[in-house]
Amino acid sequence: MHEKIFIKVENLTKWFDLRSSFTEKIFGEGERYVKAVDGINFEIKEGETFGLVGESGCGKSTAAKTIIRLLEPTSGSVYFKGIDINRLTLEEMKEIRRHLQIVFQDPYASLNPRATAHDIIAEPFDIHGVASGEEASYKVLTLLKDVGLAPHHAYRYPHEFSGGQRQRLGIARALALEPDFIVMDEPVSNLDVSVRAAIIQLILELQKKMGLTYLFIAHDLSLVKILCDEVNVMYLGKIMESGTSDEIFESMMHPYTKALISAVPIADPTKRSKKIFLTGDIPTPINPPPGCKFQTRCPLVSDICRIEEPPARWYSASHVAYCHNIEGGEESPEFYLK
Amino acid sequence: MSVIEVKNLVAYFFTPFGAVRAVDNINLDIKKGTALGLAGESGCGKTTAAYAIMNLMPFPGRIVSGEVLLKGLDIYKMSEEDLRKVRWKEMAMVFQGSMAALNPLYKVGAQITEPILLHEDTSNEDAIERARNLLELVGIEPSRVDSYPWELSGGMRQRAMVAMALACNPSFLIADEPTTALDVIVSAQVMDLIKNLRDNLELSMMLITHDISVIAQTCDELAVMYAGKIVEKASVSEMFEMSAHPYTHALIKAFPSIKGENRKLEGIPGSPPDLIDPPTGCRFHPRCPFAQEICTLEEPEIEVISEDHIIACHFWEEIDEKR
Repeated sequence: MHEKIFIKVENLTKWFDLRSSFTEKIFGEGERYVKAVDGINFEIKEGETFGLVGESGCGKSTAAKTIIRLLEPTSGSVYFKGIDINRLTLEEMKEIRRHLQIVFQDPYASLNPRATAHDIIAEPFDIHGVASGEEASYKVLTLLKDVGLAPHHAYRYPHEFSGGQRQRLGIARALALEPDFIVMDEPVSNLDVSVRAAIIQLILELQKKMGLTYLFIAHDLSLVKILCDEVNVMYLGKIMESGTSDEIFESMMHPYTKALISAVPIADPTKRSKKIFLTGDIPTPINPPPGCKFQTRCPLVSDICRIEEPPARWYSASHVAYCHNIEGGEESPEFYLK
Repeated sequence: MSVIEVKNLVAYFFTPFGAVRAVDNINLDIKKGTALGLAGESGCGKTTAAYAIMNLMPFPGRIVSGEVLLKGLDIYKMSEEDLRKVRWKEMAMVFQGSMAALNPLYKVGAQITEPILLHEDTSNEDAIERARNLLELVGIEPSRVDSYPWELSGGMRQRAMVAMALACNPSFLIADEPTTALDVIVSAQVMDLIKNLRDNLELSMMLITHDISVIAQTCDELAVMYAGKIVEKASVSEMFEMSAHPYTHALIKAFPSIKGENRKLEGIPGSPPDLIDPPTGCRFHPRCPFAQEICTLEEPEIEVISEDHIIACHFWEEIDEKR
């Protein structure tokens, strides 16, 4: 274990209070929270691509935003290279933020329609006092080249770009301050098939060239499989299973992971897979029932799942699943380290 | 027996800038109980083809020429009155974007019973009862007939759209991107529903999607469309094993697969052409790695290379050997 731990997330929670008014807070029917992120733990190692997957509404984007402190956590800590970033003052945070960047999901909504590509990319230089004038322009042109755009694109507005080009612009903006860590929040889910592959290639090339660490959020599991070194499966604010990409895709243990992976269509007509069906949709995260969050849709559900939170079952030093009713595994990862 | 036969169909949009050649001479033949998948990038004319087959071309679109035979009868030659009798009763469609296709002001039940009441001589009560059964068939609580579309989740709305399309027991169903914008698990549920309905009701289907892995899992045949033309068509297994057209190949390679070894993803360079002024010769030539001079000059003819496998490419044999 010499790999450097880059980001460490400890018991991170983010609850949104639903009581809107002062009177409701005092006289209302008690507490109502959306428990978007409800106690997650993981470590992201330097240079790896860490995948966070799950259905819409499972809390993956909230988790990512809380990790880079775009949202303040309800409790828990996030350590960036050993520094607890939630204890920093805003001034100190600004310094750290240069290293933590994000590429948003929707390239149509995340770029200012009234700014040129040049201004969008140069804005961080201005804010952080990195460069100005000609130096800034030079840097912008270099960045455009890095993401596969041409110099003459610098003075165009977002609406003059296609979806794929906009996402390249979003990536250039994230790269502007030479960060170490980028959150990729579903960067290709709004793009057309043929463009998607090109953006994925770009993301991979940049990582190799600049030694970036990624937190990659997606619901498209086949993409996660080719991109990520480690994968965490999230459901209603909790991690259900985590492990290396091989462990999750080849020997998944948790019933939710199994259902999720079996639902992905395979581009091979000879392998029409047997699917494990979950009925219904993901339930609301407002005051969820006690016990396992997956109990309402789980094919293996038993009485204990409705009372107690599921224990960790370790299948290797890196592979853990949280479930009452799966077999094998050890209670602690120490077992595999001896 | 063919349920739907499309012959030399040409459908354009007539804009002030010129005619957009969205569907430019396509031929399809869908037999009873089979499902055809129609794949291609956004803007290649898939949805226009569906609208043309339903004779629902929106303004400024128009059918220029061609025939669509529904059980042998040319629907373009029918009177508006006759057409209304077969539309939805014989051929129905699940429209793209359930959010936009359902009317937010009417209850789901009312929207499902509308075609029943229009087409059949039944009482309101009977129609509601049938709507309840249809909802049950697609896995929604029958009591949801009294819900408004916005009270349903995305997956439920998409199911309600399928229920609506099935209201008059059609023999042919077009499903236009039925799972786009749905989560994996919900989209697997909807696809499984469509597959079961097909098996149980002997439906013939045309499934439009850009995700060819969905077609691999559910269809019998695959037709690949590019810039208004069908460039290759064969059985699904043949297409995935030995697709010969460079575009089909590129489309398959652009998708990661969850099974097997990880392979490099390859995008398709460039973007789909402007259909007002499409490239001369083969429309794929500006993006094709194998293009030669003839591709820019002559449009490739459709060749039949084996039973039920057709292709339009000048060099498919040579490309096939290079692979």
